[in-house]
Amino acid sequence: MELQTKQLNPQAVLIRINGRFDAAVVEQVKRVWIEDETIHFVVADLSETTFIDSIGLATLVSGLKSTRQRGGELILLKPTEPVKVILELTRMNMVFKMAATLDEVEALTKAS
Amino acid sequence: MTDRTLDEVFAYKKRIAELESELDEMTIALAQAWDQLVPFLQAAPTQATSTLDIVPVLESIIAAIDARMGGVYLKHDDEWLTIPLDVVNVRDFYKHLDRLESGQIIHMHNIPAWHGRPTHWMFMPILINGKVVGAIGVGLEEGEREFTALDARVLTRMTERAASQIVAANLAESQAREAQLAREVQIASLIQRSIQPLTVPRLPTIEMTAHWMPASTVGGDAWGWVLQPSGQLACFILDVAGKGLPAALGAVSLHTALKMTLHLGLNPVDALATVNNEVYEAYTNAGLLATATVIRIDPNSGEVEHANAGHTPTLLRTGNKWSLWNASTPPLGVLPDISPQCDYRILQSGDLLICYSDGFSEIETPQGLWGTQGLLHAIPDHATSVEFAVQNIIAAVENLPNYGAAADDQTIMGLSFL
Repeated sequence: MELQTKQLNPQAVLIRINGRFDAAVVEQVKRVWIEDETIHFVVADLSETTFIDSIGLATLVSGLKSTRQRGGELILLKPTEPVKVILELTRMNMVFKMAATLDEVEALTKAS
Repeated sequence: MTDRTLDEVFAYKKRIAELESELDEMTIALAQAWDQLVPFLQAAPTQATSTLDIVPVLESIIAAIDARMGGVYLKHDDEWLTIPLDVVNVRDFYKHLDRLESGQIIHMHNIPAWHGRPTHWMFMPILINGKVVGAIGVGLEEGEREFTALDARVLTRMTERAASQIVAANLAESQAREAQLAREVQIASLIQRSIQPLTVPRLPTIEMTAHWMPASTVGGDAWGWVLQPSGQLACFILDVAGKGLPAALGAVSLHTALKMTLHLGLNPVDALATVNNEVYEAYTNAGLLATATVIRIDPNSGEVEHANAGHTPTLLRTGNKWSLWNASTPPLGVLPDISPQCDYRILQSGDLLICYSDGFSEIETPQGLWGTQGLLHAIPDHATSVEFAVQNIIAAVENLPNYGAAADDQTIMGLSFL
């Protein structure tokens, strides 16, 4: 597992989760929006995520609820096929906004 | 020499005399400070066994520097532990601590303390084998005075002397925390075990089986069944995401809520929607979510109603054909309101229904995740008994190459219409 974060603008941060998104990484991921209340938009880059389990999904939901309470959004960027399958099976694809590019992310954040 | 030059010389001499006097006072103060420290150091146990043992050390530092407050800050698994708790509780404060470097005293201004007023802090890193493992800090009210060079020197020397004792205390505390955690996991395991039914219903037209196999770390799987007032059999499987006590408690509350709604005669769709409505706020606060499938079957007609909130697909075999009943709505606790879809079928003799938790489908094999296909391949074509089908799935898991201990709870529940 590898985690990288990048500040996109003062209110938005991108977090890239490479490898497995499971219990081993959730606390680090949560810190992105828990420790900085000025973050309104979180972009979860899942383009290199090989697997997500229910704890990973719960973490994304927690981030979604936190950012929406601040008037923002948590957006999934380029989820890999295995992650897409899980999102579809659990019907979480009905819950999250998804983007294929950072331009799409920008459009979604403007619309929020 | 002019009068002006003489005046300057006198002024310099006077300043030098003042500085010498201040130096004398500082020397005396330093000696007094060390005198004050000795009893505290003697009172502090040489082998600290808990963080309480380092309180005298901290008090001695606060007294020697004549500070208003102080704290010991220790880095443990990427988190900062503080002794005492909540002297200062500001996230940015810990970000500054993360930047501590060996041998370097740092100052922080305008830090709100527990009483809400701004404070000024001075920190000295605690070093063990050249690595920063924490810091000792002392605080003054903002604007009260500045820390002096003597204060810094006392803090440096005291931190050096107290380092090994503080780390020993932290280690002892960590061990105590681990023991407490182990007790909590044991309690969570007992809670989780207590909600699993010990029997299955005995009905002339329905065969039911279920197996619950907990993982080494406690999860949030559970299953249950209820005979409704109408005579219909309602059963469910649930999986609260997470591990340990939170997942176990989440599973208990969800198990109870589902049983209650089914006892009251609700159908699977209404049961899930009602329970979601009840748990949404609590799950939001706790950062939990749960997947669940509810099935209701009429023992006379074989009529089946099925609703699935985010759970793994239910396997349905009618005749010789397998089909899947997928989730129609996200897991419980994700959205404030859900409207699951009802899957409906009239079972014929020999038809099978199997629900399972992701502890099966997410087993890692050399070819990737075992998945739904793994379960389907494990069931012999000629299986007419659901118990036989489930036993074959469990045997297939045990025979998977390189399969060790289960990483997650494994729960499986099956029904067949006789």
